[in-house]
Amino acid sequence: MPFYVPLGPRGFLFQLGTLVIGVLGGLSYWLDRGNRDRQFARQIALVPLTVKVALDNER
Amino acid sequence: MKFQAAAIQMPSTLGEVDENLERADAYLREARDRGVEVAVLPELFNTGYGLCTHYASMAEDAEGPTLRYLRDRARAWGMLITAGFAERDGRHVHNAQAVCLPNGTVQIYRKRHLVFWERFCFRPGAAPLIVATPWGRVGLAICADMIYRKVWAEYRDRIDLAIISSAWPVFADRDTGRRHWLFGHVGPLSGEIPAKVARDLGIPVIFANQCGVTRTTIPVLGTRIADRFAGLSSLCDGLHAGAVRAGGEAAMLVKELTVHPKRGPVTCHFMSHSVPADSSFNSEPS
Repeated sequence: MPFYVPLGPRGFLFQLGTLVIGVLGGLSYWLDRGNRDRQFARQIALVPLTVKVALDNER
Repeated sequence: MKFQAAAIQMPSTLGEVDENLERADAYLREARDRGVEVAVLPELFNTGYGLCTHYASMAEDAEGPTLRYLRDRARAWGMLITAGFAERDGRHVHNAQAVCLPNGTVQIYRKRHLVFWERFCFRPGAAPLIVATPWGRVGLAICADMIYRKVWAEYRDRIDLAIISSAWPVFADRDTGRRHWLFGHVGPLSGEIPAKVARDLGIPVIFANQCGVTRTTIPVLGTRIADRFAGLSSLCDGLHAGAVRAGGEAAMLVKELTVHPKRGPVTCHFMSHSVPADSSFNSEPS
């Protein structure tokens, strides 16, 4: 088994599940690329702390 | 060499980046005041961790506010700060860990073993990362990376210090305490694996986990657990007996660790990628 600690029979299920979810998730991630592009365009503005850090550095 | 290390176990509110940064800032200031040289924040500490479709809107590159903030702090305070964040790279988002060095350099490790819903939101990383620092060679891992034997086989005899950022849940209902039938036994491993790594590799391990409530979602199985993060952050000293471990609540662990930097290759260039330093830097461990 590829695990650093013994997981017993559940390790096999975990491995199989991770493989299946990996394939489905990878497909979903790929299909979602257009939505990601739109989200990149709507980046959340993070002003307060950035301003505070800049002020800190001036002191 | 001996140094003070800190594992910051904090809750992160999903989607509230400013609030999470403010919270981390308070811990980092306390760490600096206590003479800490190496501080570790949990996985995705700035965005929070949970099934969420908005990671792309919170993802940052190396010039984003989170990394600028961490880089400024590391440089101003002469610290090594590592922290998990959502990294934007072109059209992709990675579950990543930044290593901010006192000279202004930032190196970034990308989580390779994505589990449960993570593959729906992130692209997996491709390589391990070893960073040469004034505190020796540091090997990085994020959460589920640490349960794979291959990860530690790759780092064996090549690193002097291991750092693990995590958002590891208990896999049990937080109200009833009832464990999940399949993953219920995995929760306590977050307390065991870092200690095992420290013993096996003979190096100190800094493990920083999130705490607080979460909802664990496992696609395909259709599982949703009203869960909480396991906490159990730890500072384990490999060759020198003794470890300190947090409970399930917010805490900052501080402990003196001892590293024994070995001679040999200083940096392994199978790293993810790095941001150039603003100034020269002696990468030899002292």
